[in-house]
Amino acid sequence: MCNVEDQDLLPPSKAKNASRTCIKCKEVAQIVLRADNCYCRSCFIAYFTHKFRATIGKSKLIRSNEKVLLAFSGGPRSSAMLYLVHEGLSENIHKKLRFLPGVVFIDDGAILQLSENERRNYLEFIRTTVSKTGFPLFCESLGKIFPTNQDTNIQSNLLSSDLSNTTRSDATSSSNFDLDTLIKRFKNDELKIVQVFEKLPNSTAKEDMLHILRKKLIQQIAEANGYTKVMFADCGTRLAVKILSDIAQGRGSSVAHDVTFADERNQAVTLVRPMREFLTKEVANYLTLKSIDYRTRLSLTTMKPVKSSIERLTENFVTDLQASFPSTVNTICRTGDKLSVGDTSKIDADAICPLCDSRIDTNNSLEGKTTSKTTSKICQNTADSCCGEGDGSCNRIARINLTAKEIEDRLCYGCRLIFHSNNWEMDDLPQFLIDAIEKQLRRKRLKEEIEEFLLD
Amino acid sequence: MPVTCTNDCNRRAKLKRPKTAEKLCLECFYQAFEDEIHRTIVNNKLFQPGESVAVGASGGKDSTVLAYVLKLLNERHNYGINLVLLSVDEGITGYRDDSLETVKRNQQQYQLPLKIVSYEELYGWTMDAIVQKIGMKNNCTFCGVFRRQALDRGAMLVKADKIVTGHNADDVAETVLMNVLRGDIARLRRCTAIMTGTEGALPRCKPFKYTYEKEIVMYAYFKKLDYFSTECVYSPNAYRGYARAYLKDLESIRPSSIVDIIHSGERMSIKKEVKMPEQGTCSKCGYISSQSICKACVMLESLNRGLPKLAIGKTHKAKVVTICSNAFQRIIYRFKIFHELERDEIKFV
Ligand SMILES: [Zn+2]
Ligand SMILES: [Zn+2]
Ligand SMILES: [Zn+2]
Ligand SMILES: [Zn+2]
Repeated sequence: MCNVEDQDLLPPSKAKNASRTCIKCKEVAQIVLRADNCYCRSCFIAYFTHKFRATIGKSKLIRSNEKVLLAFSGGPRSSAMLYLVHEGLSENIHKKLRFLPGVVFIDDGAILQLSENERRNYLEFIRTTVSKTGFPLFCESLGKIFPTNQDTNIQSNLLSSDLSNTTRSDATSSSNFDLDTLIKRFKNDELKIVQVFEKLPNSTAKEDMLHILRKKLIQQIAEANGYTKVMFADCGTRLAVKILSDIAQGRGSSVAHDVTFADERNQAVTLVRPMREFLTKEVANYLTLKSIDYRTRLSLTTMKPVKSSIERLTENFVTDLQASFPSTVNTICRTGDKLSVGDTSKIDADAICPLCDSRIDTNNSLEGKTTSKTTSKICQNTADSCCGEGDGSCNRIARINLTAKEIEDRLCYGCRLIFHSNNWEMDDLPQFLIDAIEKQLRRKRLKEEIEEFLLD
Repeated sequence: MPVTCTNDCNRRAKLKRPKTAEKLCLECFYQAFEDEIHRTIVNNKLFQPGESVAVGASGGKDSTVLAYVLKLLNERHNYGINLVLLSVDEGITGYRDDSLETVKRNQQQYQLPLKIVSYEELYGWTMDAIVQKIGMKNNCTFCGVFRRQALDRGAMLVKADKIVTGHNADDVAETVLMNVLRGDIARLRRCTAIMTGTEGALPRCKPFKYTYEKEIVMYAYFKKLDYFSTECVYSPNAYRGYARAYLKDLESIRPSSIVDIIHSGERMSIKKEVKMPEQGTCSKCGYISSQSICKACVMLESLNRGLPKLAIGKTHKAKVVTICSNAFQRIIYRFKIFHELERDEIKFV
């Protein structure tokens, strides 16, 4: 069926003259962002720095002396962010940044199947880089999100290794020993998570899960250490990818949260994105001009074909489109900016997805959607107690009296897709998720008991 | 080794359902396909008994299958609606002939009344006559504006209460992506609605909203439904082409992507402070319009008065020139332009 509503977008006109001038000072330009957007070295750095501080400033969200945790991965974006924050604090100027930063690094080497040596080198790089800033550094393995021992007091386990302090007190030794103990401890925490990831059906689900768990762990570390804000270094290009891949993964209801400057879904810790106004290209230029060292971030689909995951495909799609239509990223981000996060004050705790903290968006019938299989087999259960799935899935009682169905029911649409293959068990879920679901179910049962006395 | 149908009917599986990857026999596939559309119709209360429903029939696969399935479901589940096939004839020599023939055959096969509304009937002008009057250069503008209203006007002519169109899940998902890519927030909000239409325009609904294009093709193929294979000469323009390719890739990674995107579209809400274009109705014809007199009425008036003086935007002109300069593909482009220019802002002097 043809859709008669297309608007044409002409490819950018090729600029004719080779010698370009800086749009600020008219000197010879060195940085060409677009044919009509060129800067000389110093004007570009000034523009970049100013934009970063202005993004933080205009939100008026970060208070003086507030503890802010920087999510640092060693990759280009977060390396630029760390540099900008460090510079902004040390400079003696009136527009100085006034918060108290800490740095958190989550080691996901187990999921990415890095060798011990690779992980050690990476950690070494993180430690050296962060120690130059003097900020406290928290290092933790992603595996920590699945507590292995029975003493599952997450809070106490999260007393994070403040590596930079160790280095300072022990400056002479090469401190390889410290890293080795750390990696050993990490590996001990990772048995479970490796198992869980092996069971996830595909790379798309794995990547989605990885992001969710990483964010969750960072929030836990922040909360346990008195940080009220976490800065993520997502740039505009990255956010455009996020918007599209969110949409493609049924997460339309959380797009607004995922791209806004301040994501306040978690009440204790707000996520902020001070790099959101930049394009990847701008960040790359800044890194080069300032000679900032960084590591190329590996992902689950690095070196894999484009179609190995939705995120990977989307990244490729946005990059290609941006090359032909330089306004692509901006347009997508502007669309994202116009989306509403809804009235967050009115959300019932029971209506929050315990995995990703988004509002539950599955209440109305999913008619015609993939979750409904063709099968018209009659389920053995009586109509009342049948889950409606009709495939006998309601008979599968998992431990702690939670059925797979009960768990799935509590998840948002997007998170259900992660587990959308029936071969998972209770054991495959992080404890925080099971705890949250049990809590919700207890409340639900309580409510059912008193239902008849409740006035609307 | 033959696979048996996953539905336990003991028949041999004949196909893999694109939507769920289940291996089904033909009977179970038909059943599933039809039941899903029935559920969509019932859950969204698309029809009321006694209503007259116009099926926008182009002769293409979507509208052919739609007419067939709606007739079948109407009889099976007693919707109590009166179906009418409705086709638009732009009056372009050679363009619609084949597809109109198909629609005429469908009328015979399905025993449904058919109404062909022509531009001549609706506006007093065929496209060929307009081209003669104003030349090749601006005709696309006219066709675009006229076409948008033709189905509505035709449906009013046959006194229909509703229009159903064959937009399928792929179309809807693609439109969601398109609107995100070009930042069209007003359309983004509207495009996943299963039923649209306010005062001035007839309600339009899409019973195929959750139906995969591939399954429509499968259904038509196995049921041996007669349709005109090239739906329309339109070839995707820049952004829609990208969006389509991206969607196909997504589908190959995760087949549920199409409905997942529709779900996303349904769940995105727009900030209150974002301004939406206001929609009123045309004071002349009552059709929805953001101006006091709709574009079609303005154009008609200028046509009837004599040579129209209308100014079109710069990019628009440039595009027409680029596109039309390629004489070899002129005919194809002529129709492609009709679609592309639908949305272009047109200013009148
Ligand atoms: Zn300059
Ligand atoms: Zn969720
Ligand atoms: Zn069967
Ligand atoms: Zn009018």
